[in-house]
Amino acid sequence: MGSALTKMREQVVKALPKRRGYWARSWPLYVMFLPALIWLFLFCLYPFYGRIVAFQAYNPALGFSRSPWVGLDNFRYAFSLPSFPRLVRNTVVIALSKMLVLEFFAITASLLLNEIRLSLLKRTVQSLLYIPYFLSWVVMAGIILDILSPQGLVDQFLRLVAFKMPFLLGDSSWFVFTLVSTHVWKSLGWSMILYLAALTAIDPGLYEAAAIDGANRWRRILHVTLPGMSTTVILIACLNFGNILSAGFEQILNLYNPIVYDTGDILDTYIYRAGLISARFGLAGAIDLFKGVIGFALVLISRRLASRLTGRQVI
Amino acid sequence: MFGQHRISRRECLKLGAVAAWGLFAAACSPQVSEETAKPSGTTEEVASGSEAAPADTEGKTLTAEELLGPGSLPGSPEHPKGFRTVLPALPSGMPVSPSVVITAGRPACGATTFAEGEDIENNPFTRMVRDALGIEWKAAFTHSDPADAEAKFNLALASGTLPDVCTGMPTTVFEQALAADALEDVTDTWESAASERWLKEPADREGSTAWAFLRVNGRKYGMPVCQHLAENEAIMWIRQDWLDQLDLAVPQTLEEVRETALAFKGADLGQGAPGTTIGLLASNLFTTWFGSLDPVFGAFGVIPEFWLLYDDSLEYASTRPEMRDALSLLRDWYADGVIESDFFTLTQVDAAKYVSGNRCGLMLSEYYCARWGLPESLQNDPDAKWVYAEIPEGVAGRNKAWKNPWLETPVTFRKGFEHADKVIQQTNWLMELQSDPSRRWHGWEGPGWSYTIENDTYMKTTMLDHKWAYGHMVGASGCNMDPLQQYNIFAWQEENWSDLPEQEWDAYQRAYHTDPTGTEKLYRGASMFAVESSEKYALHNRFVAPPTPTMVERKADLLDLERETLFSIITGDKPLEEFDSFVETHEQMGGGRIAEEVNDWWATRM
Repeated sequence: MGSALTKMREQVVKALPKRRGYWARSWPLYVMFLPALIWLFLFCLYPFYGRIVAFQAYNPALGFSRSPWVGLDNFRYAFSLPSFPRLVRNTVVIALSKMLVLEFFAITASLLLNEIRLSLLKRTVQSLLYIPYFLSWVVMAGIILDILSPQGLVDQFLRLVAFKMPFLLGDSSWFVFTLVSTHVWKSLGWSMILYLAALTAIDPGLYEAAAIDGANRWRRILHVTLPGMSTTVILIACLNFGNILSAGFEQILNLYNPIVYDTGDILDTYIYRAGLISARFGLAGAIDLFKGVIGFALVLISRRLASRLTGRQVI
Repeated sequence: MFGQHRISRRECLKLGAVAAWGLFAAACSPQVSEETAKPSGTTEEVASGSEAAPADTEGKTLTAEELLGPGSLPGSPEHPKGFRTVLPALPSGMPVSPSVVITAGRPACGATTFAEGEDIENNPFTRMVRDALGIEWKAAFTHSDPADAEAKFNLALASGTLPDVCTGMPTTVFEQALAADALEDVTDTWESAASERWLKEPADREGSTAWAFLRVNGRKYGMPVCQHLAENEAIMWIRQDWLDQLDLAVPQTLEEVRETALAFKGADLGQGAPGTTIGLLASNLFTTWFGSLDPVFGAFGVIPEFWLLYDDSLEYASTRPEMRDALSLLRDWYADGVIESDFFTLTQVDAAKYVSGNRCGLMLSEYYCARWGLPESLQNDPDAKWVYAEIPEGVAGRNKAWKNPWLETPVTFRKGFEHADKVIQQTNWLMELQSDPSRRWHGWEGPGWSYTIENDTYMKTTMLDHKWAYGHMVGASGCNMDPLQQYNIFAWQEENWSDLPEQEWDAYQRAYHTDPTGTEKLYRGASMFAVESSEKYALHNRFVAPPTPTMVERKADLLDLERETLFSIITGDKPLEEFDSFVETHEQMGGGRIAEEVNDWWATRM
């Protein structure tokens, strides 16, 4: 009896689909993940030990191991630079104004696009706004320099209406304005994508209900659309907060000149000049490490803020 | 039934992963084999070619001409109006047998071109040196600009793969390599191998200038390299046809320069859109090439960034009181529109466009623009008539920035390199070939090579000026060993050829007399004028040495401050009084300590 029962049980177990181990089931996922892991190790973690140049008088011929150690000298020199406070201030001012202005325009533009009913027009406008995003800053800077230079396009046009334009790239009081506006020109299309996606997620039933209740377009935007996309707005704002010390190296490098150092020289451009132009690797490493530590703290804060404000776990 | 045959999600993932790895492997492997296949093919060719040469030399001594054979001889004796290049006698012990292979890291700009099927390791120059001297040049890498050179030499240093010969090694890399004991001391080799006439005399002509960046503790760690004398020093270039139209004379003083510039601008004589003619050309660098302002500063007795001698001690000219006066004048000029409102954003290439586009008729630029800028200007406006003249005069007379013809980026040798003597001997031979004008060195005839002969006239092709294509040193500017080489050749040609009757002209002499491009005579004249003008008016930067310790640490930041202040004062962005606080800040930020170090060096210099 007993043996017959066991036999039956065995037969039943055989007939059931085989339960396999975790690894047997999941190895393809790990294999697919492996290249990314190797990339991460090779290009992010492995070079990390090079950060020690911040504490060395680094000489490439001697390498990391034989270059003399100088303790905190590089940091001391950096903080003693008369231009250092200016570098930090410019970085924060430029990054913050770019962020706020771009988000404002991106939200406005996506709201406007959302109201367009002709889908052909909507898609055309959207594509046109994307185009500048795909040009590199080197190309963009060439175009901008041509347009904004004295005797350039804008100046020739304004001369017709007898208006003397300031040289936007050569006047320190106008330079931030120039940076922000060209940044918006380049990135508007791209930053709209997330907002447009957020808009499509809003339940159309809400609009219908609002319309039945007598809300006009403006009211519907105010009471349905904006609250509907607020989570996305807050989320993006918080995530950007971590980038506050990155004010757009490529853009500024291609557009600035000594006259606008006063408002346009940022940490990254200084690091570039110190490290790659004048070969002071230790100094450049020290300032970059300083930037990295603050940036890391900001990322942690923004992560906290984002989950606190949106009630979701992000990252 | 169907369900069993459907590919499950997991199988799909597996397939995907396998495919991805396959692609990954495929992408890596064939490329490697292709790359390794190519160079090995060329080395075989080269090797078989070089083995043939010494075999012929067995028993009898062949001259360089016989070793080269008709295919690779410079000159064009076969042509009815051709000329013969007379090669110098071979150095003793050459051709080296078996030939030696030497690797080099050397400059090659993007514009460098080769004839069909040739490249940097296989061209008339490499074949000549291989067959006549038994030296095979391999390019370990090429670099296109100072930043590129710095990156590549640094990489080679860090990985311990420094090439045998390093051409154009930046000073920073030189210092680092020396600290790591990676460079060969060639003091004794130079002493025994370098030719007295062709190398030692020119290198020692200006005292220790040539060795300033190579000699450490009395030992030489490389070979100096120079440009033509005064090649980058400013002379005044002006449109004579514009002067004639406005009934003006060539300006002599700063005030006259101002008036002429405003007259050109006001009359709008240029070719661009209405209202786009500019006055005096200026660019984002004060002391170089197109649109230099150094003669304007010089008229006040100072040159930005120069160390000038005052009563037996050196002072930094950018912080001298005369600088304030110069800035005050330039500030007025800027406000009046004498110089363009965006001059500080113009690179050399941008500035050159004003010349080639004929929007500018007055500039203080180097003589070399007769070959770069002016030809384009003439092409766009055949009536353009450029003339050169003396730089303008001011309260301190006429002065301009002297440019050290000896490069700060010399030729160095890897530690342990055994053939430095061969490189120096090759240089002897090449210098004799090129510096002695009666040898008639004008390159190789052929499409894609140095020149072609059309209508019995020598027509230069692209390669002659692309000196780097030839090898590490072939006498053109920037890889020369005698700053006066070009001047001497031009002077010799003038003396020997000017009375030559037309029926005797060979192809080169026809080009010399008829000037088919329209700018070559201008180039010759301007280059000789610049050398003579340099002797009279060039203010020498007295500090010719590697940077002092404080300079290494602080000079870049001080220069940032200086450029920002000087430009801002000129544009009116900051008041003139800002100069006084700049002088103070400069002193505090390390300028004072640098001045002490520079004067210590001056007191004990060799």
